[in-house]
Amino acid sequence: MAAAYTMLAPWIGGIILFVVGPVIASFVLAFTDWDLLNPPQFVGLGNFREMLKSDVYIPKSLGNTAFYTFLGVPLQLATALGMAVLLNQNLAGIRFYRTAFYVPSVTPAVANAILWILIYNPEFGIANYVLGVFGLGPVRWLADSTVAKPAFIIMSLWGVGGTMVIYLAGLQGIPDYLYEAADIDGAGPLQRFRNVTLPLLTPTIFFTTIMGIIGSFQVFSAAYIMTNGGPNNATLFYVLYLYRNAFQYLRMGYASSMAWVLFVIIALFTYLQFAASGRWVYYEGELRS
Amino acid sequence: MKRLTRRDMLRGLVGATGVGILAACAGTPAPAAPAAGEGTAAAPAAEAPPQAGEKIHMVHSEWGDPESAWGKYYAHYIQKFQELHPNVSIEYQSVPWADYHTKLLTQIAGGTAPDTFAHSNVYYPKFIAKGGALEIQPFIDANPDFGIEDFLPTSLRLSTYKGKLYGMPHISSAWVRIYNKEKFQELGITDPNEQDAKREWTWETFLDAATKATVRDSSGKAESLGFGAPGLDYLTCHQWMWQNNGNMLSQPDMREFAGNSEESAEAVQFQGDLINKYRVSPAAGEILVDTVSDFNNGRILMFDSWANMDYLGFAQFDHGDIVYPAAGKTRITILHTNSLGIYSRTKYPDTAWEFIALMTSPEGDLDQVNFGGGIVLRQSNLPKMTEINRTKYHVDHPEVVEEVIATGRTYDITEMYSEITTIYNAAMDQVTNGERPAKDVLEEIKPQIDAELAKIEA
Repeated sequence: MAAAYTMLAPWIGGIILFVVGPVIASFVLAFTDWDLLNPPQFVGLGNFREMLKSDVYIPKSLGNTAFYTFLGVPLQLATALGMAVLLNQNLAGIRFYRTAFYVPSVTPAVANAILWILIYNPEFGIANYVLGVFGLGPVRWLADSTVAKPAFIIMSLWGVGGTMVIYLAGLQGIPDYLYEAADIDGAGPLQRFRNVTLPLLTPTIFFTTIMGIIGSFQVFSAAYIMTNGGPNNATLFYVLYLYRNAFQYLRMGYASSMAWVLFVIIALFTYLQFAASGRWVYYEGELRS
Repeated sequence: MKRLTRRDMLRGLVGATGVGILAACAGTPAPAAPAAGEGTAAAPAAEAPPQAGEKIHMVHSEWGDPESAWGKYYAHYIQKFQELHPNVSIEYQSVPWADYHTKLLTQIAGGTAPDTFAHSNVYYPKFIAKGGALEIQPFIDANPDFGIEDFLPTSLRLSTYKGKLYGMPHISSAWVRIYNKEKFQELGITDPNEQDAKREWTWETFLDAATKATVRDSSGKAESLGFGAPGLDYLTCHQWMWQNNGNMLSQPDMREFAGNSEESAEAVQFQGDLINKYRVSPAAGEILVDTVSDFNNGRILMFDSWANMDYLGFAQFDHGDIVYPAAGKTRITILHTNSLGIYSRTKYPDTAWEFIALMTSPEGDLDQVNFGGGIVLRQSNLPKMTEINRTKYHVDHPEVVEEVIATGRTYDITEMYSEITTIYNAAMDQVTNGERPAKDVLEEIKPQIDAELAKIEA
């Protein structure tokens, strides 16, 4: 037993020092006014009161983030699932395609951002070129406050490779005999997808939905690099505003309180998903009435 | 050997977590200088005299790439200082600009702050107000040979907080207009410097030249443009407002937003009109590569930039020249400085000051130009800089650089700079995009900006 704990010690020590400690510290700091240069001053619930009552950027940034999350995550999941279904076929060179579609999800966020700045360039970007083929546009993707958030959602599809691989694993875990049974019962491709594939993928969909929403609420890098919250705060996402408070306004205590509010929001949505999961998530061998 | 139980592990976890929390919270040692109250700007405490043979190790931090002109400049002066002070070693810490000020803050929070540092002056007032920088006036008072009176008075403004000096201006520049002299000849327009000499280089003649140089195809797509992006951000707008006899903040107290005045709003509207009405400046995406590249390939007639010859890359193009920015009601431009500062809790304030004094000595000041990164701020160096720009960088009108430095004005920067720019820059997107008149937008943001300014303690 001692040997096991000894072997685990570096990992446990790392978690405590670099995760648990800072998490608890940030909770304590959420009740302080701390500018990083001087000792924190206890302010009780003052930070939370300010967030709720007087900070106009809190509802703005939360609204932007919610828009990005609740439109973006379903689109990301649907795209990843569609790609996984296509890449689950037994075709020549399918491994190459799987790799090709997965690669963008592991490229650095900064590189992705630079690439998409070029794609969205109103004059020579490929996005407007494609629209132009259909007689549409040009669109000022990142300069127009009505289009900027949808532009970020479209961009987020670039990174669905990771989710796609999870769906692919889920699809490959569905036994062939279920499809054979459906065939015998006369089910067509759509019915097979609806009545066999989707129900058996629900645990995977449940997992990716939770992870997608958690990740989406924390969107930061792309907005920081590409628009810095503009135009006219259309892409001022919650974590970007949190970062500004921490390192530009030197309000680390307030930023910590924002982080904990975000944690509560994410925890709430995660709880709601778990609560609702009993109605639509099916595990193998489970019987439903 | 005692068997570890779950309870032992739990105790260990709790203990280690406590250590983690303490570590996370322990980055703010008590101020060394009792004169510095919490959250207030810091005054220096005397450095303990070095013991015989004592080695002093300091860290100097700045944002230039070590291979850049600035990197080489700092490396040179660190070596020089170490030769003059054999008991001192200085570690050169270079952090890319994008992460620089964030890292400086986290270093302070973590108790590993550099002893001396370069600091952007747009963030400096808040840093000073929070007690991050040491007041340097006492060092200057103790060293009358330093020659502070040689510095352009304007250049000290952004390193000064509530009447006290907290850094020496460094890594500075002034705003000039770059123009394609060959294209001016092709278009039959009088050279801007000739116009300026007769005080005929105005917003009207500037716009006339920009209009003549702008060519768009039948679909409206720009083939060439008269002027680069006019930059409707908090900093760039200053120049246009001043030229129209307006201000960004009330003068001299900077306690209220003044950008909504008729003069200021008219200036900002003119900037917006360059994009949307006259269409001589690029709308989003009309810059092909970047402004300098588009200028070099003849696609842009003029743009505004810092007067650093190395930065402008004069060797890259022969058709470029510089002129004082066109006058509105007033002929004025921007002088921007950054600061070399001393961390308020350094153990070696005297040595830190000596290092900064060396870099801002007459020789250190002039070497900013010799190394290629900057300009001079000592008045005695202005003619020498002009000569270097003429002979080394082959600038046709090097006297323009001298004039923009000597006559430039510094931005209105307060402790609430970051908060104000968040409001201002976001709102200006509407003017940039031609969605709303400048006056309406500026009126709308005035209460918000005034509310931020009201948070500054008198």
